[in-house]
Amino acid sequence: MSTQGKKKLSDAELVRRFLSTQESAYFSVLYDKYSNKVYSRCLSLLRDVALAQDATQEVFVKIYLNLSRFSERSQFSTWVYSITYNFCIDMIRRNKKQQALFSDDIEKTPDLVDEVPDEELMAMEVDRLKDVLEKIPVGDKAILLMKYQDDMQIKEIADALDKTESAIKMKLKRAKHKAQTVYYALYPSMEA
Amino acid sequence: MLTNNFKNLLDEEMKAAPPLPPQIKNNVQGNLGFFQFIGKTIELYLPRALDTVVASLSGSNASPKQPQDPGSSGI
Repeated sequence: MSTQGKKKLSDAELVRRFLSTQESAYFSVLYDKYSNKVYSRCLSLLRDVALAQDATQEVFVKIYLNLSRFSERSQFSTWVYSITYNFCIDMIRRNKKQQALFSDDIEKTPDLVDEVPDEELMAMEVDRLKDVLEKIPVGDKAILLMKYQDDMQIKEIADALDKTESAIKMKLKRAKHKAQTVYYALYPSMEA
Repeated sequence: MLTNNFKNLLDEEMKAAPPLPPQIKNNVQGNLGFFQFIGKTIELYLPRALDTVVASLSGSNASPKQPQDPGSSGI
């Protein structure tokens, strides 16, 4: 099959054919499709070009080694991003030697009564949203990106981070609250 | 349609990011080739190596028994 032909195959089909033939051209098509997406997510979390490049390479080796475990229950892209976020969070944890990456690990916030509406977060101006995401703990940032950038379900985030669904719901709620608090601190005029 | 600036932020970050060097793809392919080589080597030689180990461990028992000389009854 030609390269153009391979590019027309679905992700799941490319995985199936790679596993059955071990022909690296199939994996190469997946790399070409996802490498920049993985790289931009690594760069967003790691904030360092060299680290993001290393992480991209490692993530693709992990994808290759775990390809037989891809169950097709989720989209291939979701599975790839799960590996990416998980890898970057581990990398940050190793480099900073810090275990607390989520705001609820750092500060014991009481259970929040009001949930920040999704629309409020998603409507923040791009530059401001970028500033807010820079200021919140990296774990919170990762959860928000998984949920709102990559449209991952709670269960998929829970599987990716090896946590329960209820833990993820709580972390998401607190991450949204943290983002809103930082937003109002940075832009006080926006507070109603 | 609901605005989602998380996706717009991703688009902006992807445009602003320095390009991923082709060296990364070469490294990934190198790793892939290495793992495939190891896999094929194991697939090819492991069964034989196991057979050899089994044969060497049970070598003394596996050899056919010498037919006893009917003349020498051991008495």
